[in-house]
Amino acid sequence: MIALKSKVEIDRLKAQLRTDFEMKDLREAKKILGMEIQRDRRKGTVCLTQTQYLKKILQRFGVDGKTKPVSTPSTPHFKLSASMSPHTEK
Amino acid sequence: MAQIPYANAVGALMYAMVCTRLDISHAVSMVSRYMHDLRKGHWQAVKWILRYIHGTTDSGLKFERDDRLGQNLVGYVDSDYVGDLDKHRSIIGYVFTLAKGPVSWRSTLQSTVALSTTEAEYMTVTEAFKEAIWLHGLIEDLGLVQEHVNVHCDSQSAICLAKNQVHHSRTKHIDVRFHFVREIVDEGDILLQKFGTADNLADMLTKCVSRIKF
Repeated sequence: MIALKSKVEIDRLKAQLRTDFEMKDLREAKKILGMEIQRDRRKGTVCLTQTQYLKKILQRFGVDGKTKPVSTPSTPHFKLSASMSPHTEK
Repeated sequence: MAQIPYANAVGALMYAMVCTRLDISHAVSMVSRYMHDLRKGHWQAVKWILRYIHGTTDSGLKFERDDRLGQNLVGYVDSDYVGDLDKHRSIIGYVFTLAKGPVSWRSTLQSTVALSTTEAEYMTVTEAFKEAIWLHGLIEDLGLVQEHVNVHCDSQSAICLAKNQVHHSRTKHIDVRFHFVREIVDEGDILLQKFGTADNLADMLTKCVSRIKF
């Protein structure tokens, strides 16, 4: 992945690399490490999402269309502690 | 409980959290503490996170151009005093934003027990400062020169402690390593500023928030 401020520089670097390595030009980056990249040049925004990965893990753990979504990642009524684990009797 | 893919689920969520989903970092850090010895309640919490993800698969990070201050690296810190019920350690949370989007975040348990909320905040500030110094150097290498980094903290007492060299009976036990903060503040590389809790982005890393703030 090449990121530079000027397009001319990018083209020059690509040409230089092409002389030494066999390479394939995939144009503008759409995905990196499983993250999707969305760019909006007009608004000047870049968004990173993992929609595909998240859908895959939801499927793997049996969350489907029938599951009701919730609006918070956690709720205060989950008071997690180790004491929820079984104790060894003394 | 042995057949439950708890570790797999937590691992999968953790990967998402590390890449683009800082909104679940507090919840994931909570459930990841019980890998070795889980009960029903822990698995329910994991399922809750999965249901949350189910409704928000499209959420991610958004970076925006902002000519005023958006290009700058800004930090937010928060802590939750005695957030852990087992060893009574506090939770630290910080997030750094660049170009209006979060670039570095963490929600974790403190390594030692804090005796007061001020101390908990102060320890969080220390952790955030370490990150700030590294990020400051990194963006400088990338060609973004910034004079100083602003770190926002909602605890006035922690800020006073950092700026003031006064020795108090209630703070004298705070270890030398936390006075690292004072040294950095003195040098002026990082500015520590008061910030309202309502605007604090790091809030969501230390407690359950009802909606995504960013």
